[in-house]
Amino acid sequence: MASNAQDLDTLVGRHYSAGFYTEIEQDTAPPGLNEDTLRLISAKKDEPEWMLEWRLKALERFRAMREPNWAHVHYPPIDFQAISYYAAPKSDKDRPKSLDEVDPKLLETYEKLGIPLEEQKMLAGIAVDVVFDSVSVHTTFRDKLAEAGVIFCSFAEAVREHPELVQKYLGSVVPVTDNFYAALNSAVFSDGSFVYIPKHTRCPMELSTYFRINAMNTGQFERTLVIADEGSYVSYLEGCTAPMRDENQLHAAVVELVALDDAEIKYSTVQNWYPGDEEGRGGIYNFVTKRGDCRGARSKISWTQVETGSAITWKYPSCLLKGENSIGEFYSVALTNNRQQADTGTKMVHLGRGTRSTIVSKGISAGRSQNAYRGLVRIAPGAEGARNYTQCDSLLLGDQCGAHTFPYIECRNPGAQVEHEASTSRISDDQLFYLRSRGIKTEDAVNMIVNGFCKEVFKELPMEFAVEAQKLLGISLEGAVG
Amino acid sequence: MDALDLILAAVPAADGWLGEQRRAAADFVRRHGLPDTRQEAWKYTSLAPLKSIAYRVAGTDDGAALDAPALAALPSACASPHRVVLVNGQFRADLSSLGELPPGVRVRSLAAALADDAAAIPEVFAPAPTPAGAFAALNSALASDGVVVEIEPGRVLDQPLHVVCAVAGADALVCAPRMIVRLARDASARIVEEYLGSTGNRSLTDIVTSIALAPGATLHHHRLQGEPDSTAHIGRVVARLEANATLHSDAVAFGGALTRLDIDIELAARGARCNLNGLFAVSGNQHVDHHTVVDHRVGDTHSEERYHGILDERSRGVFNGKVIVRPDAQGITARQASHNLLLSRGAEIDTKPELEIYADDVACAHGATVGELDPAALFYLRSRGVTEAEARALLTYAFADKAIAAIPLDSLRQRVEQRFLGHHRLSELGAALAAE
Amino acid sequence: MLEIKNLHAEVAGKPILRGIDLTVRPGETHAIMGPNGSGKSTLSHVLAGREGYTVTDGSVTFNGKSLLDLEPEERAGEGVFLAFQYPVEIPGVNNTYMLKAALNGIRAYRGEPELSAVDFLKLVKARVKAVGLDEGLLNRPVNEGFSGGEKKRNEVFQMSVLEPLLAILDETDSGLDIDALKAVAEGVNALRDANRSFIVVTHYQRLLDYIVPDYVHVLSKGRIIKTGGKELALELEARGYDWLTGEAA
Repeated sequence: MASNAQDLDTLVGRHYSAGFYTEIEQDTAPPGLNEDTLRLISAKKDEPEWMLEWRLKALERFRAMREPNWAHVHYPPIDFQAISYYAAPKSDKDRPKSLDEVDPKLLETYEKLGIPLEEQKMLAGIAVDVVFDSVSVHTTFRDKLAEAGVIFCSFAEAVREHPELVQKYLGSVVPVTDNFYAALNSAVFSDGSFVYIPKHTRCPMELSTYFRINAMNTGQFERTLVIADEGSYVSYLEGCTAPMRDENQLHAAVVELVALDDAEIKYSTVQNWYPGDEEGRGGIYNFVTKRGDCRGARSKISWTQVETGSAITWKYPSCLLKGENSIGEFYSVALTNNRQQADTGTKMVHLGRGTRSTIVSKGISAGRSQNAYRGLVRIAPGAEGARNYTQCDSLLLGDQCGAHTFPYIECRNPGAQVEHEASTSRISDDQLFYLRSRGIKTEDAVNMIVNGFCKEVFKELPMEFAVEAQKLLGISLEGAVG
Repeated sequence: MDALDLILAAVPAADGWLGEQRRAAADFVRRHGLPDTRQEAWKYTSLAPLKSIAYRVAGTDDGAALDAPALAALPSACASPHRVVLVNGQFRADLSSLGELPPGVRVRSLAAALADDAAAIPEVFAPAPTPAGAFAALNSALASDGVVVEIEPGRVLDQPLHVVCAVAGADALVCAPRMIVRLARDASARIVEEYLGSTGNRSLTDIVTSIALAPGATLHHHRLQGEPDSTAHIGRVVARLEANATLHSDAVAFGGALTRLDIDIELAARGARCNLNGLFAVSGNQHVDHHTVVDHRVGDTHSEERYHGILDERSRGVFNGKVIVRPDAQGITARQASHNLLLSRGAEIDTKPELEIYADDVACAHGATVGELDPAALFYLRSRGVTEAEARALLTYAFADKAIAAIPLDSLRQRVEQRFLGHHRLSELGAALAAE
Repeated sequence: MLEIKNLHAEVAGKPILRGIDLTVRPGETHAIMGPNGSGKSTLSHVLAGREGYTVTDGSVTFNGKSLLDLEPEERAGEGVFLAFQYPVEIPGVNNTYMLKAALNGIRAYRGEPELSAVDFLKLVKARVKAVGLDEGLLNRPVNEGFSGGEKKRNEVFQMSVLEPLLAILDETDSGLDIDALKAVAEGVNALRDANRSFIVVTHYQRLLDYIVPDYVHVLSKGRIIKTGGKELALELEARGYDWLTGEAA
């Protein structure tokens, strides 16, 4: 019988089912990063003057910053002047008012992605905002949301129609100078989603955004801002795909969440950007800054992510636990295969009394990939009675890949309790044999074990997403294991 | 350190490879300077407090005041017939008493070894310099004396060799001794390194211990940093283990205003294993930083590591343990734990247990905890009539005892126990334990 | 049904089985006994197709097919079931879900249609009662946190759902108290019929009080050195193995 390692090898391979490319007339800015680029973006978006000023200031800061190099990832230098910072389907000029008016090709795109808008509308009752390359194409269910007082629109629209909210909260969680890519995003972000949940309101449905990079040589720099006012609740889902291309494409998003007193935000991501081919050609550089601010007492922010795509992933969805007794959670599955590299994790910064955080990270490495968990738990002197529990497990499928764990624990309060556990091992031969001897095929057995390994995270996802995530894991592992 | 140039000017002259190596090391330090907090390995440890101190390299005369009676007055961790004493990094024949060493065991001063057969020393003399390891390079440039221990194949040093490193005399001296330990095939030994000094001395000890274990060799290496709370102590232990060699390391730190210890272990051949036991217990404004790297270079190598930290008052502790499993190094077990107790507001612990794994047939795990004394246990003891102070002392001791009990050398274990109790003003408890 | 001829196998280059001959006909129950290290568990694992065991000589035919050429899941498809001595825990994988995948995997192998969720659940409910497994364990991850007795009962329960033609019980009695042993034996006996065969591997005679075998084989140093009826087990219980293996007590 073939050894485990051989099985792994012979079965390696993956199929990227979202790798199609849609031929749509594009309105694309020439490559290059300068003041004119920002003016062009700002003009395209019909932005007020303050927004342009904000961008220009960000560009100035960006120029003074250096690309970070501490992550456990390797890639050739990025030429920021060779990237086009704006691409939009041409039909954007006459924005569709209803779904019927949306370019049928676009709709086809989403059907290929397995998210037929109509169907999703009917079945799941999810309001969907779709960001295609740089612009938000369509937001469903606006009227119903408006009834509840919920604002869910494209970022560009929010800048025009809710400037007071945008000005109050934009950059208040992730300052322009937070890091290199956040500064870049602040200068060139083109669109994204904006959510405001009014006081004591439970958002009547799950909100969802699908991101898609379609055009060539473009970067995607969306910006998401979610504000949950006192006593409100929202669950927000985001999904991402991109076509197969030989070049690397940059995705540098910024997501800011603000939870006021007693508010709760649940933010779930299924990230399936194109990972590149078996040799590591092409794929998305996913350099994303996501941070939630538990500003209010008893507020709660929960991040759940399933990361299977991207050539390189560099993201640390974090929580600033400022409010007393506020809660931060991070549940993550990160799977890398072939030549993918991931350096992902979270930061839990405990500032308020009685703050609590939970981190559950499951890393799966296959092929020749490198998968690192990097996490920070910081307990400030004032975080009396703070609690953190971290569990961080890595599973290795194959002997050519790497699994790394870099947890930072900084504790400055004697009344705090921090507990961190991590383990790394390969998929168990005993478990595989047990399942196979019961009549289950090797590949199914591996899927079963991997899904079991990720169970704790999947159960945090909304039902439809959990199913999608499991499927995605199966596809990403297709052939990767035996 | 403004005095860096001054220190480098004191690099001792020598001919041949030694002179070349010292010049290269000094150049390296000059080029890279000393590490700062922008470097990941020094993220939590700032050397800024040393900047204002006008250091000079210790000379032979500086330690003259430390004579036999003065030495005897210093508390000693270990009663052994084999004792070597370094004062300010210089070997002191007058204070050392090697006794009768077993056959095949050779202990010399580094100065003597360099004079005898310098050519036999270089391969263990210098770890390749790295910017984060600039102090080791500085030691390579400055070290003119120290201790060389060599044990022939199959020979055993069963009574521990007690190496006392004392700082004494003038303030703000730089002491840079070098320890070299070489065990041939199947040899075994036990070495206690103890760091002591007279109160108030602001010396800087920059020491490197380089250990080479041939196939089947076993070394117990116990290190007790008990210098006064005014000193700076920067040490590095570099060990390379061949097939089936075993290293047991105890690293205990109570003393020093600023202590930084790096332990780098290379498990270079199959069957090599190491067991690292660490304890740091500090208070006041003390800062103690332990970095360990266990590098599993090949398959079938094993490591076990447990560090306990106790931070009182405004002290700060740092632990960074890294386990590396190289590509194709299959069949590895590696366990690592960092447990920390914060006893007061103002104290801080920064701990970072890391795993970097490039092979799949591994069973690696690490854990870290930070917390205060268990309130339920405190309450339980108090409800039994124990005073709060005593209950705290008992529980603190119980925490430390997990590390202390793992020290396999009785005399050292008792000494660590006493030092611990004394240091944490647990003297009543100490008396009670002694009376038992 | 099962024909083992001159089977030789080694583990890590060390010969463990040195020429086993055994024929099992439908409906028969064979006990394999022997001292520790005689090769009992190796035989079970070789039959189920575990990695790390190298067959160096001989053949195993099961209903006309060469068992040794099949993958573990194919052997299950053919109707071979191994009740493990140490059932492994599989975190996060639901017991019932695993069993459904197994049953449908076996059915697919045989070209039978999948069982509907309703029919499957009906089957499971019926069987779980029959073997006296705590129903709460069905929705727990496979064997995770089960007691020793629960694990063994779970093995018998799985066997009752998968309905194998040949069940190999590898030291199923180890670690069980007398009540658990009886319950497990009852579960096994309920499955005995004219078409189903059992190989019961055990160190002690005790299990055979409850699962009465048609034949008892004594394994020593990788060979069957004696075969007899159920009374042989009693004799072994009384006299130990040494009189057979020829070693001084």
